[in-house]
Amino acid sequence: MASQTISRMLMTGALAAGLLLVPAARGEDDEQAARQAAARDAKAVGWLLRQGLQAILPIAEPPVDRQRQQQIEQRARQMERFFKPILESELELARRTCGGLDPKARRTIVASGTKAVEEAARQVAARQFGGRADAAFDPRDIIRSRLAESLATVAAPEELAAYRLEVERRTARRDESERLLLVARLDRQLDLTAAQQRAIGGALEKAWEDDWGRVVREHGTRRINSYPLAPDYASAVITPHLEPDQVTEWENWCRAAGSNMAGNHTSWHFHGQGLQQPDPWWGQ
Amino acid sequence: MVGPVTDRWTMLIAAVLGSLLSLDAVRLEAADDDIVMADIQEDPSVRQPHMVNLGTNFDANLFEQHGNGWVLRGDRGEPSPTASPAFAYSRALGRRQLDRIESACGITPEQRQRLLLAMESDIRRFVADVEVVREKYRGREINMNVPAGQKQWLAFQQDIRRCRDRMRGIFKEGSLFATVLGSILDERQRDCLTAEAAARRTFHWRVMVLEVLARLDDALGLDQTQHDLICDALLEREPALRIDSESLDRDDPNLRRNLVLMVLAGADRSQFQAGLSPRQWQALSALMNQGRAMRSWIDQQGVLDELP
Repeated sequence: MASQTISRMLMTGALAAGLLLVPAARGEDDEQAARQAAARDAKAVGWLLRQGLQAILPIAEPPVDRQRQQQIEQRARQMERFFKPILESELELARRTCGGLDPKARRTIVASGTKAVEEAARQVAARQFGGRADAAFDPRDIIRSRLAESLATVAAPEELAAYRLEVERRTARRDESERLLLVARLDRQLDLTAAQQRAIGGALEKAWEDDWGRVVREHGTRRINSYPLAPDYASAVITPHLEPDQVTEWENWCRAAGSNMAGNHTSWHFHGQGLQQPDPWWGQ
Repeated sequence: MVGPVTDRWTMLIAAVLGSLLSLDAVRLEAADDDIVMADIQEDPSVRQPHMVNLGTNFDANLFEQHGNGWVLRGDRGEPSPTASPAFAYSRALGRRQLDRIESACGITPEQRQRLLLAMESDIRRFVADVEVVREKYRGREINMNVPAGQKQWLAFQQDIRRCRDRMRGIFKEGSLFATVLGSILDERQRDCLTAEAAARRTFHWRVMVLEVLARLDDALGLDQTQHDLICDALLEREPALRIDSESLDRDDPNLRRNLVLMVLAGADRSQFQAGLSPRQWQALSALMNQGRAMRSWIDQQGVLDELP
C-alpha cells in the first residue's frame, strides 16, 4: 500500500513538472493563445491536485457492505410473501383471458412471475436499506410487466389481445378513480358546485399525467400545516374553473401545503388480503 | 515566452490562494453555524417542549385542525391570543354555506339578507358559548411531564370535542338559519337545493366506490365485467352520506374502505358468487364479512345520517 502511494505521488509530481515545463506552442506569443494555454493549464493543475490528494489519502476499493447485503436479502425474502398476492391476482386475470394456455406455457408464465416477485421484493428491500429514493417506483409494475412479456411469447394472439385489453381497462379505471379522488379533495377544500366538479374532472382527464395519480395514491392522507397536500401540479387545469374567492383559497392552500413539500420517497402500501393461495390450474 | 509562463504561475498561485480562501469561507460558515446552534439552545421552545399553553392550543385545535385530529403545540413563549378567531371562522363557514345555496337555487337579495341575519344570530350564540370555554383556558399553562398536567390535557380535549360538535351544528336543524331557510324558499328553490345535495352525495359515494374497487382490482384480478357487477351493486345502494363540510373533511381511506365493504355486505351475495371465480369469491366474501363487522364502528363515526 505504501509503495503504491509513493509511486502515485511520484507520478503526479512528474506529470506536474512535465506540464509546467512543456514549452509553449508556437504562436502562443499572442495574448489570446496565452489565455487559452493558461486556462488549459489551470484545468490540468486542478486535475493534478485531485490526483495528488488521492495519492496522499489512502484509497481503498469501495468496501462491500456485506451486512447491508444480508439485510437486503433477508428483507427481500420477507417481502416476497407480500408480493405473491399481486402475482396471484395477475395470474387470475391472465387465466380469465388466456384460458387456452397449455400446461407447459402455464409453467413458463408462473416461473417468470415468481422471478418477478423475487426481483420486486429485492428492489423494494434495496431501496429500504439506503438505496436512492424513487417515488415513481411501484413493485406491481415489475410483476405485471414481466408476466405480460411472458404471456406474449406463449399465448394465442386473440387471447393475448384480450388480456391486454383488460389491462388497459384496469389502468383506465384506476386513472378515473384517482382523478375523482383529486376532484373530491378540491371539493372538500374549495366547495365546488356540481358543474365545477364535472368541468374540472373533464379537464383533468384530457391533461392527465401518470405521475399525478401516483401523488394522489401516495399522499392521500398527508397533511401539511393542517391542509391536505395541494394538487398544485395540476394548477393550470384547475384554476380556470374556479370562482375568484375560490382562487384566493386555492392560492392560500398551495402556499401552505404545496406538493413540493411532500418530498421524494419510495413507498408502497399493502392493501390487505387478496388471492393468497396458488391456483392449482397453473401447475397442471 | 515570458508572458505565458508568468501567467501560468499566476494561475497556479491564484488556484492555491483560492483554495485557502475557500477553506476560510468554510470555517466562517462553520462559525456561523455555531452561532445559530447557540441561539437554538437558548430558545425556550426547545428548552421547554413539555410546557403547553392551553390558550394557544385551544384555537389551534378548534379552528385550525380539520376533522377529529389533534395538535399539541409546545410553549414557544408566546402569550395566549386574545382576539378570538371564532367570529371569523364561523362567518367563513356561513358564507360558504350561503354561496352553495345561492349557486344551487339562485336566492333573491331579500332572501339572502334574511338568511344572513339568521346566520349572524346563530354565529353570535355559538361564539358566546365557545368563548366561555376559551376564556377558561386563556393563559393556562400545563406541564405534560406530570400526571396532573396530562389529566388537564384530557379535560381540555373533552371541552374541545364539545365545541367541535357545537360548531358542526351551527347552521343545522334547530338553528335559526335552518328555520328561516325552510320558510323562505319556494318549491322550485327547494327542489334545486335537494337536487344539488343529492348530486353532491352521489358524487362522493361514487368516489369512494371507485377508490375501493381500484384496490379490489389489485387484490382480486377483476376483469371489466366483474368490476361493473360489483360497481353497479354498490352505486345502487348509495347510503345516506352526510355531506356537510365537516363530515367530508374526514379524508380517511380506511373509513371509506370499511363503509363501502359494509354496503357491499348488504347486497345480494349470489350475484357475486355467480360472477366471480371461486377464489375471487372466497376473498371477496371475507372482505364483505369484515365490512359487516364494522357496522357499529361506522355508525359511531357520524358520516351517515342513518345506517342502510
